[in-house]
Amino acid sequence: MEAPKLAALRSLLHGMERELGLDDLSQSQRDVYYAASLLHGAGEPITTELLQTHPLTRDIPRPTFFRSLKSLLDRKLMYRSGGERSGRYVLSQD
Amino acid sequence: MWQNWILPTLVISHLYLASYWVATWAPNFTIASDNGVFATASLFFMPHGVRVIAAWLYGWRSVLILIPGTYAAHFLRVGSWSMSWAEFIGPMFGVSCAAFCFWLLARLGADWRLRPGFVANWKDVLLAGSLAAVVNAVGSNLLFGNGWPVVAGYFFGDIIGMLALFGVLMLVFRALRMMHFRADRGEN
Repeated sequence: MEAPKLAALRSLLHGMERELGLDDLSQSQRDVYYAASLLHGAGEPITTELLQTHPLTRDIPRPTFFRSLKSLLDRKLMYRSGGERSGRYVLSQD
Repeated sequence: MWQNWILPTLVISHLYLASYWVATWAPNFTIASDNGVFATASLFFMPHGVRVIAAWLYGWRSVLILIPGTYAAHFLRVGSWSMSWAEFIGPMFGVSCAAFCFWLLARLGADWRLRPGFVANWKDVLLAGSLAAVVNAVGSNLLFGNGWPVVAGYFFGDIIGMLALFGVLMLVFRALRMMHFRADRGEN
């Protein structure tokens, strides 16, 4: 099975895992990830600034927000787009 | 050729046969009938999930991709390549039902097929798979003249098997992800 098809299948099943509440993300990690997904779906860039001001995440304390973001990057659910300090991200296809 | 046909056919056929083996491994979940080999309806038919995934990923191409695995499963079941006309046509309902349902739903305005920039929700894919289970159960059993208990057995077997396959694949991918995550963090 070629890589894009496999990635699509993993994405589909990861969505199933999330919606069934079986992933092991904390609530704040989930909110940051959902906010990123919504920005992506709306065709907006996923930037630190837009993520922090999103209705889903704006009440998350700043240190928790950055810890959550770092955790999502560590888990490869999101990736940096551009340099280390660009503040832009893309969602993993997984 | 390799990427578009051979590799998908190998992967899907092996997945089909592996899931078929699981279905035969659970003999207690079958409806016995004296109406021939096709009258047996496994109540845990995971290969239906393979059909649905193949149809979602490959559309009509999945029909050709599924054929080797489907007829190899027939060989494993019967022990011979010889088959009646009905036995030859019967499995075609199975291999084409999911592709047909994704196509039909798309015609009705619910195009959940995989395409660039769009990955459907898993619930929509399962819904298309459930519709395919209806088509397969009614179509196959009309062909063989089986009664409604076997039709119901096909339907519930396909649905239960599909849900089980999706669940198993979800857990496999989750385990792989966790393994990579721990490896990246240097944990044992």
